[in-house]
Amino acid sequence: MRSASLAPVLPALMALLAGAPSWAGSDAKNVTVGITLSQPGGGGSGGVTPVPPQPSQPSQRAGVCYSRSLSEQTGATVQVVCDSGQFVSIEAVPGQPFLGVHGGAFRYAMSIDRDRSLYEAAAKDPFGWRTGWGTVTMLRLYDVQHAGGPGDFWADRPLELLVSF
Amino acid sequence: MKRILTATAIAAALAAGNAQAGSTSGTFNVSVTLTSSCTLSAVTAVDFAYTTLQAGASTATGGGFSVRCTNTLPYTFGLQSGNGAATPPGASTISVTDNAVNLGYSLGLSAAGGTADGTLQPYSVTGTMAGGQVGTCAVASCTNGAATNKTHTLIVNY
Repeated sequence: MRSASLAPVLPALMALLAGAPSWAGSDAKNVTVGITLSQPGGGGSGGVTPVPPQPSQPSQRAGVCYSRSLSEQTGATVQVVCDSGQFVSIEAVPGQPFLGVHGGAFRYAMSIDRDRSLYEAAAKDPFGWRTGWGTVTMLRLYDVQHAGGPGDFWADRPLELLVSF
Repeated sequence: MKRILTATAIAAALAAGNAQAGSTSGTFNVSVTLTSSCTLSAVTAVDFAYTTLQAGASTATGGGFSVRCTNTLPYTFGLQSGNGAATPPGASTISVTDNAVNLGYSLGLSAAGGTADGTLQPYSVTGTMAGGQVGTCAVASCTNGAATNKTHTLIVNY
């Protein structure tokens, strides 16, 4: 009996439940999202101002030359040629396999201890007096598949690393 | 002397010429119809700075805006992906994958809404980008300037 008396208002109730919200009005504005994506190990912009894409691969830190070609490839030879005065390095990318293996990133630089004539100039180098103007970085990996290796001494045991840069 | 007195009496009569014989009064109502509304300010850009495979999430900067509504009027905010026509009320959060740098992010709001006090009330669109993403960038640093889905919509409902 009660349900019969509700029957006439049910459609209205359903319409209210399914109807439009009670908002009287609305206003809207656009929101623009800007993203600056940088490669690991690079200086990047680090800020909120977008950096236009570069036409070529630039140095990521002042005075340092980088190469990321052939990353994560085995048996690859990567040559980095820099202008005079720049530092060459091989560094690990955070999160990549190279990091955490054998102590992390490797950096080598030619010592100029024996070249007294360059000592004064090199002393101004932010990387320290051991680094000359124009350096060479090399990371040599021994092939574990050739057990003979370059030497038989225990310290010369083969070492295999996957370098990501 | 008599002429002077007569002139003075005439001047006095002229000065008192506005005197009313009587008055009556009535009342009337003033009807005011106030249509409540809200106005959003422009929203400053929401900016992310991200490094490929970074360990932690990136929190966006910017996104500030303000709203001014009729005093005591309650309102809520909503977000909508894209810059098409607003369809209120919008969502509290939206998730988007940028189609230029291929990084996913989420946008939210500093508050779900509020009650107007007649002044400009400040809020912000918040943004979070999860860590561990690779992204797409053929050079050392890229922006999403070429993205076609970088603009979204903020809605205020009242």
